[in-house]
Amino acid sequence: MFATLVGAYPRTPLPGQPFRVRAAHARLERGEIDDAAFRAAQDDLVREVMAEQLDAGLELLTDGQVRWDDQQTAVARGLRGFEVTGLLRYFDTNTYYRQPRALEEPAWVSPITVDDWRFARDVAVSLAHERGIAAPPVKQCLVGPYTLARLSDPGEVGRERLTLALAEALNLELLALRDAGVPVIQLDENALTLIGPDDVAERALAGEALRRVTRGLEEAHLCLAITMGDAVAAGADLLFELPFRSYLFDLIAGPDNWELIARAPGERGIVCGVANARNTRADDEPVMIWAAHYAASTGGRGLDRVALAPSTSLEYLPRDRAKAKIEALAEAARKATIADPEELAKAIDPRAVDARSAALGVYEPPSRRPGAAARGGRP
Amino acid sequence: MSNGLWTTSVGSFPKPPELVKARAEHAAGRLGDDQLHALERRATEDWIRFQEELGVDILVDGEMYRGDMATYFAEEMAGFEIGGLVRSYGNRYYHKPIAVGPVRRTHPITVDAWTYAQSLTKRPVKGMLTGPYTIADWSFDEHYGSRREFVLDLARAIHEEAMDLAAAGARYIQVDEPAASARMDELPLVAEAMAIVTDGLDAHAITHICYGDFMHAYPTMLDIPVDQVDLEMANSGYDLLERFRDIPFTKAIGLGVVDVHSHRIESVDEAADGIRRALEVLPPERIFVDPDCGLKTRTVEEAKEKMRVVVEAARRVRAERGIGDELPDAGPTPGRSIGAPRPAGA
Repeated sequence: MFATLVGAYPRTPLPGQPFRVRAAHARLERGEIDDAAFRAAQDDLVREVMAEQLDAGLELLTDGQVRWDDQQTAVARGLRGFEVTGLLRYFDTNTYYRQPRALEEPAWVSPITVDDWRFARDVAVSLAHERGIAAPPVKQCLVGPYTLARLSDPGEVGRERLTLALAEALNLELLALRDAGVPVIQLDENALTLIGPDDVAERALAGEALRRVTRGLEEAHLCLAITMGDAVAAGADLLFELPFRSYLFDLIAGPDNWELIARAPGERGIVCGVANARNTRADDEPVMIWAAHYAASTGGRGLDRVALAPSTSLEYLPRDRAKAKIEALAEAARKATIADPEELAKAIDPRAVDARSAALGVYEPPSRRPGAAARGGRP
Repeated sequence: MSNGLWTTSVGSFPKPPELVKARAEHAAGRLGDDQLHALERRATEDWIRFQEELGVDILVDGEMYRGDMATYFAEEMAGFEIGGLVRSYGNRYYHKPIAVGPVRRTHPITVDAWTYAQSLTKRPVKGMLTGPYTIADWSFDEHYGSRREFVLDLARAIHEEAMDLAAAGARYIQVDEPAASARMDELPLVAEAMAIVTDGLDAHAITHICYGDFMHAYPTMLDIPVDQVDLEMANSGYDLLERFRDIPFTKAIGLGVVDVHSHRIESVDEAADGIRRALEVLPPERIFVDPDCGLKTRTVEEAKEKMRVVVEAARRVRAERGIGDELPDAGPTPGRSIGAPRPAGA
């Protein structure tokens, strides 16, 4: 039981802090600094956001994806066969990405994300050493073939060919990540939420792409992340026949993803995306703990195979709110491991007198509950 | 002779470097309100003069006094707090508002700036508002818990502002709804809110929509009760125009013919070709020509060059086709009430 990010974290500064990476970016555009100097500013930001994750209590870290313009171009620029074109809205957000356009069947040339992962791993080791703790694992995320193809302009290649070619290309990237020793490799397939109940061909295409991209990776820990909606129409059969060891589901934009969690085999891990990454409002701690317990109860999974996360990228929030979200997630994950219901209730809300009232977020003194006196004050 | 292909722009122009610096100084408390205001007015006048000299038909004030288009209105309304920075794309960020109570207008927000800009020219200056759906969608909601209630409260506030602009003399009022194309299931809410905004509005009402899933938003976007829908077209390769052949576009269109997110200056040939493609599916009197979106992210020189391309391209096609540039009487048109074509019997 632990807490982790979906992947991205705000690159904006905390209130009152200088926005160094934005300034460096502007200086790079004006030709005042070179690529190496800009990368050094990004390196500093990676250290900063990883320290923030570690100090908040997250146990599986990412580099916050702070080097990327967006998930799509981060991968497409590393493959052969794409050009990057105009801006498009990313799902229903007010965040935009530049749309890759396929000029030919894309092909993998060399590792795209391995060096960045190695840097992040070394940062995690260094941060842990400074704090006198064991180094936390660092996961590497990247957009999956179905989503990258669906959000790209397929051009003359056509979407089916593009999807399958991307699956083959990204398979080589995943193998490179595995060989580099990445402990958790996360594929982000948010476009699975776009598949409708009657989209038989889309379901088949997504399934084939995911089979190809995961081929030969049975020994690696692959996680399939689906946010921005629910993937119920994609189907449990498709998702759970694949060799993913864990699944991350957005349970805010896609509450129906609970149906999938209920059908997930018990030996698979579940990461519950329960902290609303698209609203600043604080999340309800008892609900997050309930979610962890419910996911643990399905398929006899147990809390050891459950984690908590934001519902999607935290980049949609200001930095201070994102920091508060991960601190709350880590705290909820910690409390969720308290086995004794009465202890748990006290940990959630010191005023609570039983686990149920705490879980409901309602406190009512025993004497005011109907029939409480007759039952000796406890239900 | 028919008239049409009037030129305009979507709203924002880049702030000159001295104003950018002054805004930073003002934010840091080192520059007073009056000094900043004077610089904003000087920059507004410069942009009005530029547009006049270029021969733009319908002018904008360039929004020299605004930061982000949603945050600016939130800053001026009751019920909002202004949150920290969030990224929009690339190296662009904005302060995202947070609704912490019932939102409402407490005073006119844009009327003074519009009145000043209009006083500088005899050509019409557009009133520029951000739409209720977009303000809501680009804010965090810690108060309502219901998107519809949030949007409709904002619609009432923006309606008050639109009516004040019309009373001040604005004949063209644009209500930007760039978020409208993000969620197809909420297009009816966009239309419901716009019906409140434009209710009884005696002006040519425009909405601007950009960077979304136009193919799926069309033709439902025609249900939005405005006279003109202004669309980003160059960035998306004018592909929506093809759909107009099957399902006619029932309103006037604002046709974006230059990409506002590229440093590259398009050729007049490219922009003129976009206009010619639009003329295959719409008459000239229902086409307004402009950039894809606000030009504030470009440098001043890039923005001016792109505007020159817009105006020159429209002039060239007008000359080719014998189209005049006389502006029509700018009031509500039949197009405002004509929505998407419905199947027979629906």
